[in-house]
Amino acid sequence: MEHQPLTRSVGVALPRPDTGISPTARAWLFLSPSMLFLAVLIIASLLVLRMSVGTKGAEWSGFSLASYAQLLEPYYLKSLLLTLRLALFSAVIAVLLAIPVAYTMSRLTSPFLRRVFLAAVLLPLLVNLLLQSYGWLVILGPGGMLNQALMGLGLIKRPIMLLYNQDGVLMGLVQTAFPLAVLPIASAMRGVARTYEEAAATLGASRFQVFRQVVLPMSLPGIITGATLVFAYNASSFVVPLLLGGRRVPMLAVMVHDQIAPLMNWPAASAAGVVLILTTLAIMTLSEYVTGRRRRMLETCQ
Amino acid sequence: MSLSSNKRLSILPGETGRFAGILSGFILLLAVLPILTMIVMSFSGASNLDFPPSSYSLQWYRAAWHTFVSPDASDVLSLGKAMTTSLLVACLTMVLATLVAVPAAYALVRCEFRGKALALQLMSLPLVFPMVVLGLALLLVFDSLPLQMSFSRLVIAHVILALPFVVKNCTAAMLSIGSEVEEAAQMLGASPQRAILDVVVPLMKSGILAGMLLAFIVSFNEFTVTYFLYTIDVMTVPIWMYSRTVSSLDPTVFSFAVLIVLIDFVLIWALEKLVGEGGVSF
Amino acid sequence: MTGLILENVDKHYGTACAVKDVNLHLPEGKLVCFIGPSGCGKTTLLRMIAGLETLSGGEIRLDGEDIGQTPAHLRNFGMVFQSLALFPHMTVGENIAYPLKLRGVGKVEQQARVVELLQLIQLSAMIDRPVSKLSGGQRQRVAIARAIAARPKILLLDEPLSALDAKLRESMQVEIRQLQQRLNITTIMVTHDQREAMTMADIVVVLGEHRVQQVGTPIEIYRHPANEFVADFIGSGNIFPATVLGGGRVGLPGGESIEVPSCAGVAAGQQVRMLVRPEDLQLSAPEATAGNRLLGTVTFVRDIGSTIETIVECSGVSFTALSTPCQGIGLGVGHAVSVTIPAQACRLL
Repeated sequence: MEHQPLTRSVGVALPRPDTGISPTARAWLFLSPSMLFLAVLIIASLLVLRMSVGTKGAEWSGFSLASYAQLLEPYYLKSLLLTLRLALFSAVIAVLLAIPVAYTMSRLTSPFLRRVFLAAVLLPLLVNLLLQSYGWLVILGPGGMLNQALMGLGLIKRPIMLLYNQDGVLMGLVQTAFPLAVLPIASAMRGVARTYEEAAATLGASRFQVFRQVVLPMSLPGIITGATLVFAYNASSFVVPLLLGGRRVPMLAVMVHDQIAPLMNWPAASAAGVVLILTTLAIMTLSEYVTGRRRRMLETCQ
Repeated sequence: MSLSSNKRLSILPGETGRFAGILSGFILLLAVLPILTMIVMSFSGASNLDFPPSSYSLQWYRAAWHTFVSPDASDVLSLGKAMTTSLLVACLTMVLATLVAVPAAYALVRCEFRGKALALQLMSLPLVFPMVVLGLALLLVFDSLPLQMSFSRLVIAHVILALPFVVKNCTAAMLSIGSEVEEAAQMLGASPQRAILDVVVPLMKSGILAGMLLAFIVSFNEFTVTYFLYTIDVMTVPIWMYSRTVSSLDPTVFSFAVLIVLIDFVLIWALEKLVGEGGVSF
Repeated sequence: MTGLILENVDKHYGTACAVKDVNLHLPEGKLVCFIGPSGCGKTTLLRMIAGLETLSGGEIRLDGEDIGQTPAHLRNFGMVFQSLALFPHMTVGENIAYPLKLRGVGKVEQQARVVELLQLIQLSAMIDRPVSKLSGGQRQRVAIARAIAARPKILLLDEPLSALDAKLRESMQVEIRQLQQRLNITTIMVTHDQREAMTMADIVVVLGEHRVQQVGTPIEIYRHPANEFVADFIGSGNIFPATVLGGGRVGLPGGESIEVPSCAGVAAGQQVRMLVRPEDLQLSAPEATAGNRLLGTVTFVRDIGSTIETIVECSGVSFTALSTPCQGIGLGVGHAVSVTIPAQACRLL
């Protein structure tokens, strides 16, 4: 790069043109490779949308809302309600369990412990869902750990059926989506400066009061994000209901797959898929709205 | 306020109490319980799914090793091939996702531009997008193309899935660097591009590496979307394992599972060592 | 015309204005301080000179050439950032050599220059030390050495001493000033600490409300503030309202009047603002009012060792007076005291 002396002649005073491309264009240039991949996602979604209004046999050319009408049948409605219910419960339970873990994680000082915690938190998210489901099969089976523990404690006389029903699936959903709840909450709690807790303590609040009245409210955006992520992730959960629910827990994602294999009913599968997408989008938008306001409030105080 | 009760200062405000610590530990134990269970079961001496196992042995590991080395042609081919495919796909995903994510992270962190909020949202989209729908949709896309792309489409799908993780990692790394070092480099005579290469990228090294590791882990373990997109020739290890257990649960799977979990754990540990918690946040 | 010239410089972000209508001529070889309250635009102005921000209007010329379109990395200005921005992944030597490397200077020459600069800042032993292992003051000096390594035309300093503690800051002020004079390099420094500006600068530019309020030497600014803003910002002062009575006399809010020759030309009846510096007020044992000597009551005394600060309620105005212990007459709160306001020390704003 040459560094010439500054010998540019002045000439007429020009209006200020942008040197090179505008910052917006430059930014989008950098984003374009990723956007290409995400575009595949968007295009794929649009294709699904198109397919959902096709007819079986004439998928691209036909047009009918039959698939959507089919979704209104009691069987599918039940599935939708089941999906929403399980997703909601799993979100609530996951968040409740995540809060103490997130708090501990955010306040740990020893690097070794931090690493252990993070590994323990990340494993359920990253390790093959299949493998974890197998583990659940062992835990929840009639001869499995949970039943034996309950019998040992004298709470039940005979092993209860935890597999191939909603309870087992719920447990699986909570466990696999648990990291999605912990990480945003931990991040939010880390953002609650220790000085706030110290200030509350000097004002007379007990440890629990400090937690409940200072840390928790200030971490609310993170909690909502966590709940949202778990809800969205579990609403479209496939492997867990498939393996742990057998035929008895037809969550929407399983429905989608069933329509393809063995039924080869692409439009119906797509319609169910569209419902899933809309549900996810709705939840995300709602949560963005709620946390956005809250975050702005928190930011102005800091 | 009672001044008499606390003779010694128990816990300072802002630290975790013992109660919270024990509770968290317990919950975490539950979170990894299925994995731990599997590990224990892989050493089981019985052939049922009772827990805890009545006896311990390495029989399943031996059986697994047999599968790998045995003369049963179809089995060996599948596993070896599946492992190769898995590793190849994961490596490609790793490289591609990182190449794509680093400039994206730069744009998201350093630039102010129209549509930034939208771009940020889009980056998180694969995380919450229903995976079955993604599988279905990709199947639609690639089936309607004239080309047979069974391998590439898997890589593309995995890159899409890994993208949010890698981008988040890189943006966190870049945020911690701050824009003043870049401006300082410019003031010293480096062109904007040179400044990035000389200053930003070296400082981001660990963040980028962490992103790559995450992409690898995500790809290596992916099941749902792959389940829609696989073919007989292009099969990953998770699919291979599923095909073996469709009829009955064969405990040899557990020994394979332990191997995979081990790989995952080592990778996550390395990840943590590189970036700490900040890089793996949402 | 040589030196740096800013002409009608404007900067706004959308509808928010950062700086307006800045016209400055900064001659070569001087240390200029931009000073003002936070948010007044001084850092923005510095960054525009550096090329890190674009101009919304106006021109910047160096030695007659318009540099507004030149990108930052081609302007050959040295800059020290508030955070210092030393490259953490390079050693001290590599940091300082970086601008030379970019300019294609040979390895041998690079080394020689680095050694020369390290000697100048008295850190010769640190050449291979990673930056993270330096103290605050040492990093400060390395940042400066790096900025001047390629012999820039202008040195820009953005609040370089704000992160240092008081003692270190004072010694660094002297060091920077000596370095600047030794190298005779035009230097522009942004600071919010007016004492720093008064100590170091040849020329002070006072910025307020996004505009230049006054330009001058430190003494000019102190003795002859252009308006109330400058008077209030630089040094402490007693600023009070008064009514012109004509004939070189003004009336104080409490009813009494004093002689102020500088008001002779102002029409009678005008409401004005007056300034008198605390160190110019003279306190003495209470006597009857005569001339510019008024009677007042002490409301506050602070003895900080080297000076005594006394607040006196006098004719409706709360005056702060500064005196040294040897001048003092032991005063306590509530005592009566005579305050003499020297006619020449009273300034019209």
